[in-house]
Amino acid sequence: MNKDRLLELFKLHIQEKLSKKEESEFLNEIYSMSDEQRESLIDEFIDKLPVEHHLGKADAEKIFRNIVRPVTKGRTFFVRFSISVAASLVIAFSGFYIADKYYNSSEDTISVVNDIAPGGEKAILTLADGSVVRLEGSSDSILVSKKNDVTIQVKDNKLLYKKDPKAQAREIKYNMLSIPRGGEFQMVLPDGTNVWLNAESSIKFPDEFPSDERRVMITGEVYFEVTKMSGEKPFIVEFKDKARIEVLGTRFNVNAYENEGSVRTTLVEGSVKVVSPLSKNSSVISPGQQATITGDGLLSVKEVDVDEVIAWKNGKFVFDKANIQTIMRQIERWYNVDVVYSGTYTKHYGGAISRKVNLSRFFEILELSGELKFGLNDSTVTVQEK
Amino acid sequence: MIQEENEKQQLLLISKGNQIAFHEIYEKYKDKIYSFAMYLTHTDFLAEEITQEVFIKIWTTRSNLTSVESFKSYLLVIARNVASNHLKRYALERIILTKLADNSNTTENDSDIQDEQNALLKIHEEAIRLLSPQLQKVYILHHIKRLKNKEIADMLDISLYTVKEYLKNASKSVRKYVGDKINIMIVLALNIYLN
Repeated sequence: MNKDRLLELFKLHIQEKLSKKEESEFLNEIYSMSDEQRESLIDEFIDKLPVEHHLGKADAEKIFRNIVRPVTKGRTFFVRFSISVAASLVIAFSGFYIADKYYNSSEDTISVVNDIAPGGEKAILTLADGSVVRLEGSSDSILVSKKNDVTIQVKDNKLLYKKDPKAQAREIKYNMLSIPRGGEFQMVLPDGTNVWLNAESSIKFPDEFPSDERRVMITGEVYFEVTKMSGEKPFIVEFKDKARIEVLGTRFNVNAYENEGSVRTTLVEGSVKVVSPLSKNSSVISPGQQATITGDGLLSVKEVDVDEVIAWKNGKFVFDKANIQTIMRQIERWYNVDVVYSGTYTKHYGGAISRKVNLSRFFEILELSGELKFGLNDSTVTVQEK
Repeated sequence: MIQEENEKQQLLLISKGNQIAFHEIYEKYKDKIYSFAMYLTHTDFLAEEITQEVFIKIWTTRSNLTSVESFKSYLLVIARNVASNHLKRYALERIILTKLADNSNTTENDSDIQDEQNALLKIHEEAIRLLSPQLQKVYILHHIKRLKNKEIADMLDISLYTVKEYLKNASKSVRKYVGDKINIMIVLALNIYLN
């Protein structure tokens, strides 16, 4: 295309006056030309056009805040637990303390090329009719579906189910919300129960609960804040045929990742009954307790640090005397990477890190312990203990 | 002369991380960049994205500002580069959406479309199909049927603002999906989507 023709088309594009044929001619030319050519074309116009469009004040300020925001959000690492060194364990705590001082005094850095951003709000919703909707967090209100008497929408980064209270009872239809690796999502069930889903997790639930019980099925890790209902209408969480948790109104976390080897129910508030269908054992736990069901159905209860267990929901990783495999399984899920181990790992680590940091930053902090060395190649992580 | 000295002083402050000085410069030039981006893309959220990207580049490399003679020429060089990438991406998106529109009219797609674009077409179609029904409707009416936002608002009986928000969310979602897919399909050398 000769230059005059290109300039003419560009002018028409600016005025939105291209015919369909001209537009196709123009776009193909723009797409196929070299970067240098495109840049010099832009140079012809960039300082010559009148300033006719203006950013609104609120938008302008929002954009400005995005511009000056530190490259990695939530750079506040903190150290919150006390050191209780068990004699039999080698604990590499020091790294986190150093990290805290080091990063609070350092300037912002630009993320390196080979790096992986943290996970974010992502989910896939499968409706009763089999249709699939990809969801992303949005503070705006987006209508996902409105069928029969159930309204589904995403608002304030949450998936919301709302039932018309006047609706007739009808056949129960199951929906499923799945979170991929590198994702997390929040939802509100039709009864008002709040649910947080971690990466690589899912929940299956009816779009309206029947009159006698509220039953959902989960995989992965899910935190619940169950709404108390008038009358006996128990809330039941099932993980395959491995675990059943019966509640009335309470807050608790269920970790049922297959590769964690057991189902761990941790109670924050209220009271729940944990049932192991396999061994037919059951136990009622109180706040601060964790019930563990192993692969062969054994049920045991112990006291735990609740803040550590539900740290993920609050945007943090918290580890206490964790071995490297335990840490890396979380990394795999949140950053969608795979870890290759080499050598033996004997040490234990503790500390807290924001889930909003890039993977490289996460590694830097752990490397400061002086005990570990990380490598990243595409989406494969190598880790060595020194 | 005083003007120039002022600017030098301002740039020095910015180079040291002074956000107030940076805000002044931003206030002075933001609409120039935004306006140009609007001429290029005719889409407000893309223009916002371009504006943001240009100033992020300036802010993250602010230590360079001490050696800048004229801020305006420096700004325009950065804006030109950012705008050029966006224009290329915009062109490709429009080409694909036009093809999708044509395909939906004729039953069989013409064989001379290159494999690369064919694959991209498929991914794009998939991305649109995965949108929620409302977003999908608005996206198709705007990008494929080429209706004006006002016409869409009237047709669906929703506000103009809602149309804009839907379009923004739908476009972001489509771009993200296409971007992710291409990330996976490294066979496609279309790094334009990867930025």
